Amino acid sequence: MKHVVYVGDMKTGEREDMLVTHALGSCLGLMVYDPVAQVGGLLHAMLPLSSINPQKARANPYMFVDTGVPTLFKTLYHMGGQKSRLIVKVAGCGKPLGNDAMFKIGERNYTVLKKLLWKNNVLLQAEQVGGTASRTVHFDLSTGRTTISSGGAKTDL
Amino acid sequence: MNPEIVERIETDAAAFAARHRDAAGALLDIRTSSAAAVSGRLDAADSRIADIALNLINSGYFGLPRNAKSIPHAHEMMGGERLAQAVLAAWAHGLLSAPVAGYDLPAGDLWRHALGVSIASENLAEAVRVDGGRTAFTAGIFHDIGKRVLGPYVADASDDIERKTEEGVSFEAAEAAVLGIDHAALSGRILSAWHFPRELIEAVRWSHVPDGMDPPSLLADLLHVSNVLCLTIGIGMGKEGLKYKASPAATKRLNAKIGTLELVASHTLQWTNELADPSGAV
Repeated sequence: MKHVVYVGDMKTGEREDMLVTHALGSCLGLMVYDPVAQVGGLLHAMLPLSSINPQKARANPYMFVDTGVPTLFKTLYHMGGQKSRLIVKVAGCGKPLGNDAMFKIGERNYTVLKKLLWKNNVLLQAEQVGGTASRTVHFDLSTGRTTISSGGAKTDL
Repeated sequence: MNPEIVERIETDAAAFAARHRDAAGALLDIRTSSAAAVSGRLDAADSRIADIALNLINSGYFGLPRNAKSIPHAHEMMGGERLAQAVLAAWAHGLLSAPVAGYDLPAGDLWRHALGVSIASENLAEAVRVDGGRTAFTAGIFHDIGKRVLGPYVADASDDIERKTEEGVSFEAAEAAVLGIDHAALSGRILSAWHFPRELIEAVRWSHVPDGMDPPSLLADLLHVSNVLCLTIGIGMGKEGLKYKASPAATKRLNAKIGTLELVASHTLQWTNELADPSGAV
């Protein structure tokens, strides 16, 4: 079954499910998969740190990287996923043209993710981050295959 | 750039503006109309607008203490200027909801982007304590109306525009180089034909390059920053992605900090999701 993950949202699924997210710009798209349990999840987080709006983070942890990422991992553990088997991939984290530090939201999203993964001894297997492209992710939970569509081109991550 | 194409774009823009000029005139006057006259103005434009406007008005974004039962009731509760914001947005919902070729925006995405920029602009104005938040809201709603006309031409010239952007040129500059006009300038022309306030028209025209204005306009700055912010968080981002230049000077003039922008972004996503489909039953 196909599930669309909107901005500030997360979806998990198993086996025959396909998780899709569109319009990844500066947002973080995180795909996590356990190939044995055949469970996976996709997070589309918008901002790096929940401290800017703790009330929103309580209502919707998926809006922020620092609350959305742990929630995704914990949800997969509850579904039978095991940390040692998890395959972790990331897409998005782009930025507009120019070099305005104010709009380096994507870089900050990526940095917060890397810190979280490092602190928890989780390795990132693949990434397609940065640049000005709009990216769409298809995450097939029967195989773990992750496809990125951008500017008319499709690539496997 | 082909002069014949420029002429065709200008003709199409003029025809589009003429098709909606009466509605624009009736709805813009709501700002200064009496409560009794407002319903007649809405009916003169399109009677369906009243239902959509009431859904927006009663959504919570406009902060009414209780639901408005009718447009005249809403006028009594919120005043003509605030009502005009909602009514113009309701009208724009009909103009902006179709898919837009060229930018690869599916149905609803141009409206969602317009709504996001309007909400971000008004919230940002409040956060950095500058005047003009309500005008910025309406400017945000209409800032990309030119895409409705330019879309098919962008689709036809997509390879040439793409090549330009690969040179590091921003998307609207590539549009201007290839087609002779960019979508922001075209938006300005349409809004000018509808007799929107001059300050709003200029802010829309310069929204991608606010540093070009002399003197600078905080309204253009609000629009610029909010537009880039909405694109970065994926609200109505089209095929062109993030191929727009962010102006550090605009955020500086607004005295906006990173935390302010991120807080505004979080509010914007929530309100955009809540208001995205205002066409449901009242």
